[in-house]
Formats: sequence, structure tokens, C-alpha cells
Amino acid sequence: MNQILKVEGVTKRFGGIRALYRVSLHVGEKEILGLIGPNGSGKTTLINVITGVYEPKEGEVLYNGENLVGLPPHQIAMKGIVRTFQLTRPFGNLSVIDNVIVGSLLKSDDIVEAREKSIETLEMVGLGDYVHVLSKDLTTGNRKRLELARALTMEPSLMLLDESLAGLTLAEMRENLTLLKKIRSERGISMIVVEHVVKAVMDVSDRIVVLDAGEKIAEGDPRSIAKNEKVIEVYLGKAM
Amino acid sequence: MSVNLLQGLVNGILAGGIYMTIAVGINLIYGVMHIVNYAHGEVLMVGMYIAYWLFTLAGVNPYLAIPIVAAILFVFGVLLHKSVIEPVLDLPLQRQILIFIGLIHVFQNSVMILWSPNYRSIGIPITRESIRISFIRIPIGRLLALIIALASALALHYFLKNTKIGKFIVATSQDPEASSALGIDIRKTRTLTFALSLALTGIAACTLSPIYFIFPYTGTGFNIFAFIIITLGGLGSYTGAIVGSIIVGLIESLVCLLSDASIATAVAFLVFILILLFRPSGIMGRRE
Amino acid sequence: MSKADPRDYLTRNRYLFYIPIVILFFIPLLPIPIYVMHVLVLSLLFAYLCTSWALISGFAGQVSLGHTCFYGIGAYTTTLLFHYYGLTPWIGGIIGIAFSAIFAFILGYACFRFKVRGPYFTFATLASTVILEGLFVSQSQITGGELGIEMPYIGSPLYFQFTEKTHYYLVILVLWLCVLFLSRRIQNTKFGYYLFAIREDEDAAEACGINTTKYKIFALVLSAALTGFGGVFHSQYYLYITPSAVYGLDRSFQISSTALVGGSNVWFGPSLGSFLINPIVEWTRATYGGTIYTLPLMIYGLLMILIGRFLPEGISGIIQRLISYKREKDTQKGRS
Repeated sequence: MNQILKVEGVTKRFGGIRALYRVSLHVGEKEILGLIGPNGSGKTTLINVITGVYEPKEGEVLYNGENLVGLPPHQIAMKGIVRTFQLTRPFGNLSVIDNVIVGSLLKSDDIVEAREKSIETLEMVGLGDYVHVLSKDLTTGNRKRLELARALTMEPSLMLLDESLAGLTLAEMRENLTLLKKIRSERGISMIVVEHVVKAVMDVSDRIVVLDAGEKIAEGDPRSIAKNEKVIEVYLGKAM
Repeated sequence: MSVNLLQGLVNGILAGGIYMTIAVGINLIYGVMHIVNYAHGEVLMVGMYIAYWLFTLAGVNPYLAIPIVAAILFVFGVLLHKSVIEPVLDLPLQRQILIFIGLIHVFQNSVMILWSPNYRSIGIPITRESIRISFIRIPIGRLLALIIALASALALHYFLKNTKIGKFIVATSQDPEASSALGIDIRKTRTLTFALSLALTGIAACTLSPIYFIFPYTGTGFNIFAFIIITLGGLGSYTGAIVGSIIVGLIESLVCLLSDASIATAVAFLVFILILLFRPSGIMGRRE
Repeated sequence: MSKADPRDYLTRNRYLFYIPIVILFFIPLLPIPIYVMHVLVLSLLFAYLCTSWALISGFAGQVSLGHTCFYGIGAYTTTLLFHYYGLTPWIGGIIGIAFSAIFAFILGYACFRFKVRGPYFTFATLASTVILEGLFVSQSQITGGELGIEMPYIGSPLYFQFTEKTHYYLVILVLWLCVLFLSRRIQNTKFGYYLFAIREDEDAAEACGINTTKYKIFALVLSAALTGFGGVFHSQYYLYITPSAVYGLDRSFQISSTALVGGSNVWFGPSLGSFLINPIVEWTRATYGGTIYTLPLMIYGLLMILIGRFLPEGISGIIQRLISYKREKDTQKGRS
């Protein structure tokens, strides 16, 4: 399988704190990689490094062979890597449709075209009835869907989803997971799914990487990860 | 020539001390609440009027009036904060500005209506005298202002570092969420900080009232200097406020000193642009 | 572009829009006292300035409190070039716009390039206009200092001077309409959408592929150029400028507050503010003058505080809410 993203030996420090230490992973075409680990293990930091928000002390982030380290976030987005935020960040005073239009303007300069694409994407994620609602008035679940829609219209090849299921009801979670699989199969987008809800991640991922205290402690398919002693220990007996 | 230069330096440092008080007040509020009080100069103006009336009606020496004015402005600060500042604290600047411009208009014009636009002054003879050290003249009024400004800055520093409430304020400024989780009442801390900042301004108002004319628009001038100081010295940094105040004070006195004032201001402008280009968060500012 | 799309509403009701514009052009034909014409010119000038200000401070959310720095650069460039070199203000004006734009670029580059957040930009603009005022006061040999400098009277349109106030009125009317349509156009294009995104959440905007630095600088330069030309108009209208008149914080705060009272997030908001506030201000000044003038100003201050507290979108917010309410009712009717 073609590896579209290769993270090699990334280290990131904040003052005296070691947020990431020599972390390496890779994502293949149309692959869904689950990224799990306890709080503070560095998952969001890794996303921030990949997307250019932080610059790592050492290491490389290779995207289709090109090293992304040092590039600003907007350029990385333009190249096809897109992320959602753990605490949703909608453009609050803009309507739902306008939020998504901002995303789709990355690939189309024409507003009319952007609007049509946005409506399509909103229908796909299930926000078709909320088109003119002010995004700051949305519920958490719908906000997560909005983030997803906005990311989708940017026509990425790789999506980094930071806790896109947090704060959702079980039903909503199931819906979103089905949606993710549908996105992968219909649009061929690879994903890194960062999640706390471990069962959900097991369900949707092809492979899993486990971080703890900034280091990678395990990698493999869901079943073997579930049995991995180090992983179980790190989660202190959380239900898998 | 060198005597003049020394005198210029002395004047500059004295002036810097005066402007520093305003900058410190603004920095205090900004440090804790990330909001700039654009009406700070007007608060100073109100304080100066209070000192004036205490002197004119009750014969209270402005220096003795310091605790009174500070207390009045403290209470005023609590009221102001709870009524108009608190509700807009977490909004973007665009949505806060109207409140500040509105406050400026209200302060300036109510003072104008109440007490007319006439220039007033407090005459304390000793403040007009100067201490002489060889050929250098140090006006007593300005010297007192500088000493009191430094004293209050030190007192504030001590308060923030060594008292319980002071530490709460510092904690809130660094991490409101964590502080809240530790049981610090954020709302009260913010109100207190705001009121404290106004009280500090009250102290400054008393020391400045014998030196400057008191009229409704006197606040604008101080505001202006405060903003330039903060741009140069960096927002949120005490050292920056001090450094910036000294620089502005020195430039101001050098302008008076040099026969060609036009060159001095042009140089000042150039310095300003250069600092903006190469240290845009100010000489000591924090990059957020 | 937030709650409702006024564009849809207005496209369907075009007459609402075009008739008043045509009427505005015919006003000079009416027998209007010179003072009223002056108030009209001032209101239009402010509508023009406020709309330009809103491009960077409203749309992009980068609040400039010292926008008069660009105004003054435009005014002084024109005046000085004509005063000393006889250069027609039409060309001097273009040079003035260029200087405003260059200064804006420097300011923008300094403040935005290094991702300096917080109110630094606001402070930088404040400090700029104040320092420029001081600079132009001090260079009194060239600029006439505090007492200002006069524009020699020629009275010829070739030199951007008109004998009738009504001619100035027409010029500023055209300028205002241009800026108004520009603002509306920007609101409905990629540029506008990106500015709104930057205003709402800069980090999220970056994550959406927006080069926030580039767009902020561009919006600032555009706004500054327009404002600079406003300064050019000022110098030609009054034929006399002083540093405090063109660089003064009073005017700067007036531009900002008027735009915000009207609503700086929508293309018609600032103009609304200007047409509501300026006539009243001028009328009170004319009728009362002196100390009594300060009472209306104090009330205006209270009004500002109330609007800032309860009507964050300004007065235009009320209109937008009405439109969106009507739109929702229409959609509901459509459904049932």
C-alpha cells in the first residue's frame, strides 16, 4: 500500500515538558489509523505538529515524500491534509452553510460553486436542515458534524480527526462512525482518528497506534492491541 | 552643553515616572483580564478633579488626600466593573470598543457639564520649588510624583508576590481555569484587580494634581502617552512599562532640549517604526 | 453574511435600493440651505470613512483605533505637494493614496507577519496617528505646525476645487456609493468570506487553508488607501488642514464608534450609523453650541455603552434580525 504520510522520529518539547519523543508512524492510502492513549499522551500535539501548528525539535513529517516541517498550517491544508479540532471551532457568527463555504473556497474560487458543494456535503453529514442556523447555536453533536463537513469540502487526501466523537450520545457516535467509513469508501480519504472512546476506535480503524507520555508504546491491528499488555496497563483496566 | 544634557536626562526620568503610573495600571488590568482599559486616562482625570475639590472645598492637601481618592476610585472601580466591564470581558475587542469610547464620552462630558471646561489648578507652593544638585534643577512636585509612583509600583509588586490575594491575582492572570479549579473566585479576583488598578490611578491623580492643569480633556494626553509606552515597552510586561516610560520621557525632554525639535520628533517616529518592525510585541513584550 | 442574506432580499426588492440612490443625485437641484448641504457632505464623508474602516476592523476583526493616520497622510500629501510644487491634487491625491497604502503595508507587515496577537495592532494604529500628529506639528517649517496649512484657492475642477458645495456633494456621493458597492461585493466573495473567517477564529481559518497574514495585510492596505483618499477629499473641501483635524484621536474615535454603532460586520452598517448620528450631532452643535452641546454628547456616550452591551451587531443587527425572521417565516410557510 502506498504510504501517503510518514512521521519519523518526531520530538516536541514545551519548556521542560517532553510532549512527544521520537514518535514514528505511517498512514497508507485509504487507510484509517486509530491513535489512542491516555490524557496528555501527546495525541493532539502530534496532530498540531503534522499540521504545522508546532514545529518539532527533531524528526520529519513526510507527505507523499515531501517534508512538511516548517510549513505554515494554511499551506499544509492546501496540500491536502486537513484537521478537525478537539474543542470545536466553528466560525461562530457565521451560519452553518457559510462555515462550510469557507472550507470549500480552498478548492473553488467561485462562491456559487462553493455553495453548491457545501450544501451537498451538509446533506451528507446530516446537517441539511440546519443550513441557515448560526453555527454558535448548534449542539455539540452538530458542531462536530459541522467540523467534519468543513473539513470534507476542502477535498483532502488525509483527515486528522481530533476526538470527533467526544460529547456525543451513543446513537450519534454510531452514526458518525458509519459516516467515517462511508467517507473512506466513497471519497478514498485516509484518516487518523484520535479518540478516547476506545471501543469506537477499534471498530473503525484498520490499524492502531498507542501513545503514552509522548512515546509510541504499541502499534498493530485492533485485535492484537486489545490484547497488548502494555496497552492494558496504560489504560488501567478501562473496558476494551 | 553637558549640563543641559544632564538636566534633560533628569527631566526625562521624572517625566517617565509619571507616565509609568498609567502604564502600570493598564498593564495590571491587561495581565489579569486581557482587556485594555482605553478610558484609563479619563479615570485619572476624574481622580484629579476629586483631589481638586477636596483641596478647594475642604482644604485637604492632595498628598494627604491619597487614601481618600484611592478609596473613592476603588469603589468606583467595583461599580464600573460589575456594570459594564464584566459582561464584555470574554468578547473580541470589536465588541468591547464601544463601551470604552462611550465611557470616555461620558466621563469627559459629565465633568464638563458639572464643572465647566475651565482649567483649574491646585497651588501648593512647595511643589513649585526645586532641589538643586550642582547645576541640575529637580522640581519637587515632579520628584514627589516619581517617588510615589515608584513606591506604589513596589507596593504593588510586594502585594502581588507576598499576600494571599495578590497571589490569587497572579494565578488568575496566568491560568484562569486552573485557578478556578483550585477554588479561587475568578469573578471577585477580576473585580478586585480592576478596582485596584483604578485605586492606583487615584494615587497618581493626587500626585499629578499640583503639577498639571485640571480640565476635562487632560486624560487624553495621558492616555496617549500610556499607549505609546505600551507599544514600545510591550503589553503585560512591568519592566517593559518602566523601560518604555523612561524612553518616552527622555525623548520628550530631549525634544524640549534640542534647538531643533523637528528632528527629535522625526527620530522618535523612526525609532517607533523600527521597533514595530523588529520587535513588534514591544521591547519586552510577550509574544502570545 | 451571518444570520440572513440581505442580498437575496434586496435582489428581489431592487426598487428599494435604486430609487433612493437616484433621488440622492437630484438633491442638489433642490433649494437647500448651504449648511444642510454641508451636513450632507459630512455625513457622506463619514459614511465613506466608516465603511472603509469596517473592511479591516469589522470584516477582518482587526480593530484600528488610529485610522486617521491614513487620513492625515492623504490630506497632507495632497496639500503639501500642491502648496510647494503646484501639483494638481488629482495626482497629488493618487500619491497620497500610495503613501497611505505603503504605510499600511509597513504597519500590517509588522503587526501581522509575526503573528503578534492581542491588541498590538490596535495600539500600533493608535500610536501611529498620535506620533504622526506630533511629527507634523513639530515640522512646522514645512507643515505649518499646529496652526496648519492652507490650500491656495484656485476654484478650478482641474485642481480638485469646486466653487459650489453641491459639486463636492456629488463627488463624495459617488465615492461613497463606490465604497458601498465594493464592501457589498467583498462580502459576497472569497475575499470577504476569508476575512470573516479570520475575524471569527484565526487558527481555524489557518486550518482551512487561509493565509491569514496575507489577507489581513491586504484588507488593511485596501482600507488605508480608501481612507487616505478620504483625507484627500478633506483637504480639498476645507482647503485648510491642521494636524489635530486630520490625525486627531477625536476623529479616529468618531469613525470607529460611528461604524460600530451602525454595525461593522455588514456592508450597510457603517453608513447607517453615519446617517443616523452625524446629522443629529451637527444639528445639536448648530442649534446649541457651547457647553450645552456636551449634554447630547454625554447621552451619545451612554447610548454607545448600551449598544455595546446589548446590541453587539449595532443597529444594523436589528435590521438583519428582521430579515432573517421574515426569511424563517417564509421558509415555514413554504414547508406547510
